[in-house]
Amino acid sequence: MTWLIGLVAFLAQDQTAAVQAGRRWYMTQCANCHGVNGDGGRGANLATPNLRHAASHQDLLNVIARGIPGTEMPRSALTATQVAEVAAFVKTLGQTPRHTPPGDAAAGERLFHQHCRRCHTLNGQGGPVGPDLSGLGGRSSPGFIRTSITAPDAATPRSYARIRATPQTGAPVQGVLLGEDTFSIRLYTLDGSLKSFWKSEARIEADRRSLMPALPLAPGDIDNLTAFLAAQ
Amino acid sequence: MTRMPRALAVLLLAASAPAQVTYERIRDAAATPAEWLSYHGAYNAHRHSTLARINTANAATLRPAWIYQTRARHRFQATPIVADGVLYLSEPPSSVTAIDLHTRRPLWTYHRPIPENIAVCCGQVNRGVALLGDLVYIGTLDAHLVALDRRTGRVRWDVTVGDYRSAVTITPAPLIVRDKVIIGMAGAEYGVRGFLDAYDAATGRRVWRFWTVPGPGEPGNNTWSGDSWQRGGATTWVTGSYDPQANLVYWGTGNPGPDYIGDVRLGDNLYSDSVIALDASTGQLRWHFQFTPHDVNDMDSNQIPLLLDATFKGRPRKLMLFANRNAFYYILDRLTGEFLQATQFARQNWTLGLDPKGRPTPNPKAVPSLEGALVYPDDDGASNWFSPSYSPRTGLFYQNVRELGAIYFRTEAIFQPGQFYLGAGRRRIPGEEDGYGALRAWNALTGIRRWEFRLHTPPWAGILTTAGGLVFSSTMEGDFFALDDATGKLLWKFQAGGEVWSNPISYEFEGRQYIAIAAGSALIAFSLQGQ
Repeated sequence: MTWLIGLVAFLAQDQTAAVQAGRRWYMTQCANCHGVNGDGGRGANLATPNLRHAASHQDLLNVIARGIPGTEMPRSALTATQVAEVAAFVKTLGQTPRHTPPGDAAAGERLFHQHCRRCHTLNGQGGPVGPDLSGLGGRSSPGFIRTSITAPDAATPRSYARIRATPQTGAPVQGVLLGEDTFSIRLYTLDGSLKSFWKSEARIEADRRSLMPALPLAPGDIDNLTAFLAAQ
Repeated sequence: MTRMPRALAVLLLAASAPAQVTYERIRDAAATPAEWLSYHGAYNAHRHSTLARINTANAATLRPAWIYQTRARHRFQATPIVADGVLYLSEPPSSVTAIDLHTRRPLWTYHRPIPENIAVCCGQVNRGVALLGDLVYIGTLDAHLVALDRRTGRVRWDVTVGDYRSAVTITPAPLIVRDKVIIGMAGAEYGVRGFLDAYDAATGRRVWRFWTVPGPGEPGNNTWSGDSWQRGGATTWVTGSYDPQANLVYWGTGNPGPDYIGDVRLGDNLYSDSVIALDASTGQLRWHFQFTPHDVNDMDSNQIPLLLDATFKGRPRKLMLFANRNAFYYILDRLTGEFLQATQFARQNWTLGLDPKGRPTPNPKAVPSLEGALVYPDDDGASNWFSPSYSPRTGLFYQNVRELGAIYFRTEAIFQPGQFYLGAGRRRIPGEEDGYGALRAWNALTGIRRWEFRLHTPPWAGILTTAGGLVFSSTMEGDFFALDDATGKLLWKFQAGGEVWSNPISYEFEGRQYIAIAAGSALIAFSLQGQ
């Protein structure tokens, strides 16, 4: 049994060494486009559980080694070992160690259906207005989840900041941004309906605040909802 | 030529060699505005068309007349060439297609397979071809210069310019000067040593090479500490301009390598981030002006030197106008390289100011560091390879501007052929992640801004001005548009359905004026409705 623990420890250490080596290569070869935190820029955001061009580990190795045709992602001259090290590091980006916070997840699930599902998608079900919460516990700490429930404006993702459009004729519309360019804007209103405007025909106001209301929850309910979401 | 009876034109195309595109035709391009004979349209690089059938009064009725779909999966950055009723187009990565303008159908395509293990920093792209005599020239991603028969697309000659395995690649259009083909190269993100080459147009024999990083014993080598010159970059990846009277070729040079770490290459690092003036016959350096000495912010000076003869501060002069990636608009004397004036056209903090000779005082806070250094503009620059335009109608210089900064964290730079040799990682500035863009018009001689047209995101499209009083350009979101050249008022726009990474052109064929631009993977040509 001792040898088994030793082997597991050795493998874990080996993995840590690979991640460290991968970090070094990442910083010299990748961070200029993908950002030092992996959150993108010229290159794609890698701090996300689902990489668009790398559904599997093998895909990730292929992308790092060969690049992506039609994009600025070039092939690399890294060795197979170095590619594997970079892949090991990339997989740590945006990942948060899972914690099980106090609270009754089953009760939290009922609260989710009651308060959240209208706007948020979870495992394919729910509304389009808020961020998709599938897999949330793997990328956000319980503390962050809790803060997002109690103070939605504290860390509003850029793409979910509220937008107010006032057309020349008709009532103002409030929603979250779906897309914007020099001439037009598209948003989802709270009921999930699509509204689009020419900027020449509407006044557009944006701030960094969230459309999500502060929920009227008791402290115990917040614990329960946090526990449920952290388990996703 | 374009008004020749069609039967005769067809006969010529089918039965004999096409009309020769002579050096004189390219030099005197202003006399034949129906055609677009070289990358910039003319040696002075104004990208101004004197065609005026499409104008401020009717631009609102522009409609797509025809579309050519490439088969490419890579970014389509080409400027087309138009001569004798045929449009010549490079398709990424290094293919060439000739399109008959009467039927708008391809005549031939030259396809070049590109080796899988090619190292390019910024996409497998090509920005265009050149014409001379009965040949079409393309620089290829695997660093060859190839001459094709204009009638068939068959290879007439193919020479090696550099070794792609050491990351020398070719993305710019060649420049024809008399009987020579001038070609630049890329690879400064991989620690290559830059050069500019001239080849005999008829045979492909190399006539001269100018190393943009001087070797031991050459003037300027002492601006590189140790052996750092060997990996010095200063590549030549955007097509330059030419003054036929002075017989000088003007070319911008790229960043020194490694991009972000200066202490391994102490000194000014000549001739990185410069414009060089070379004798076109010999390749001898006549003068140089370095915009950003000892650059640590990736401020490639691979922009377009525009040439203008004008009275500047009371004196008739031969000027060069240069809107640099480092956010300053420079005016130089193009015969001597003398610095005359610089004005800032975008946000910047890399320098604390320029001295009377144009030499910048670096800002130590903008040097990439372990803690992170905030830098404006970011490493894509306030300007970049996409072309500006000058209109003699308005005396304005038109430039698409990128307003965006970033935070740079110093990392290692490890040299290994084919691997990035950079030295920094980047983060976006919280709250300013997307930046914005603007098409700005300023007085070409004073640099004072007349107007701007705001863009939602920083652009990658060039500009065309016309004698019809129009300014054409595009957003990154695919909106191709026309503005009034005097006021910047929007007159027309068209959603092209793909990102635009290219420069528009104009040509006239069978009595109609067209505006053409590469968008997404298609070339779209617009003309007035009802025509």
